[in-house]
Amino acid sequence: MFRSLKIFYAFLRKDFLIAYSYRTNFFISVLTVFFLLFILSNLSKLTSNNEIFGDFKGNSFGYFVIGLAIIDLAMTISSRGAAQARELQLTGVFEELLLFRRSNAELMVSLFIYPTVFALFRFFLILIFGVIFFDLQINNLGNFALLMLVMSLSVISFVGIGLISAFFIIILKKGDFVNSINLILCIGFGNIIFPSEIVDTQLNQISYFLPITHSVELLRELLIGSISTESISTNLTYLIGLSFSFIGIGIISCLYAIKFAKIRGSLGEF
Amino acid sequence: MLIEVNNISKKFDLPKFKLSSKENSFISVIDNFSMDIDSKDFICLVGNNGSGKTTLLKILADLITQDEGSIGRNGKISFVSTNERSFFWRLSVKENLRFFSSLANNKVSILDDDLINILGIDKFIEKRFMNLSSGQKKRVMIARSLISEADIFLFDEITNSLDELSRKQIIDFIYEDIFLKKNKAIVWATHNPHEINKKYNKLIDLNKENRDV
Repeated sequence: MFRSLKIFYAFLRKDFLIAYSYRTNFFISVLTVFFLLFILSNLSKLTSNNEIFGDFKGNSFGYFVIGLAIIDLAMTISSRGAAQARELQLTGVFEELLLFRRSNAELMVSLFIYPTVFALFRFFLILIFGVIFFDLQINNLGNFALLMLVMSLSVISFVGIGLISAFFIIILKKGDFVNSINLILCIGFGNIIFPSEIVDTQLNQISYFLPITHSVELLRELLIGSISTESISTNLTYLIGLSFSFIGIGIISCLYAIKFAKIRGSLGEF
Repeated sequence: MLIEVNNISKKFDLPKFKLSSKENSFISVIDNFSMDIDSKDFICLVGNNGSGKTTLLKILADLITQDEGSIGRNGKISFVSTNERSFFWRLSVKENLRFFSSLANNKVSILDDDLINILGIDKFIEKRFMNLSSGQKKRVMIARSLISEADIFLFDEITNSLDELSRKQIIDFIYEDIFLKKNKAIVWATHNPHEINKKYNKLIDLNKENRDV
């Protein structure tokens, strides 16, 4: 365990130093949070009293902000982690890492440490900016332990999706399509911008299999809504199941991908 | 015996460029090859471009899996290629070495090792990797290979693109400090065996026309 933490820290430090060497990009990415919130606050003026927001009628800004924060978290973790797998393969660092004979699962998860920390930073920044500059009302911080549990499970599931993307990168050398499909599904059926119930087909059943659906519903209830124990336990059960399924599938598929690439001799290809 | 290679073969599929092509074509890179590496060996692996030197070294390092045959490994293996991109170019030499050191199980960091001074890395350790000369990059590559405290070092044409002085300094360091002082086995892949001036005790020729030499 200590060894794994040491490696996670090494990746975190290395990726932070690289990101810090591109300081302008870092600060601009922080500024974009402010402008996104500005757009959402204006958009919410149009939709504020719309019935489709159900319990959140009258607070569509809060509805949008939680949606934005969670989709940003999901996509930053899965796409940046997978992009790192591609970059390491492109440069040959991936082969060098394998030479150190660490656990391949540990190595693959390490790629997602900095993206996760950075994404969490942006997540809380969205909420903090929302409260300070746009009058976002957060009313349930008393459930901090539950909030942390939901955040942890959400992060685990998003890392799992990123690992599935990394699997395709190692096998096919490109895996962006996994994140593109994930983004489309999340926006279409994940309750990010609108409730999935308004999708008037059986396709809205997809929403149950997206971790983000349950993350966003739980976070809305925990942060800006009134808490219903029944809804929380249902969503939490789904989220636990999906988190462990996605991380399990992600790790196993990456281990298979490395084995496959060694047989094909394609570890160093890109 | 540190490594025992028995009758290994490796073929690679060739990419198809015509959509209509149904034939699977492949190239045989290594065919029924055997070798042993002992702890006191300095092996020169000679071969022209495309003769399979890199493939063989990557198979020894377990970065490629052979199609047939078996390999017994009884020691840690370090592989040094010519790929200068396999570092984090925006980080300093020190940060690169610190990162790779943290992946190894060593108690002492490579940054505290005298070899850093012998390799002359201490003079440019705070520089970003991207700002180093080719010779300096090669030294850092060798320093990284020392991190895992391997028993066998596989060098893949690492003196390519170096001037005569740098080439001599690097070969002398590997021969005197790694092979003689640290008693590590060396496999030196090259297309020009004269560059190591008969320091080797075994010569393996991978050129197909000389395979039995």
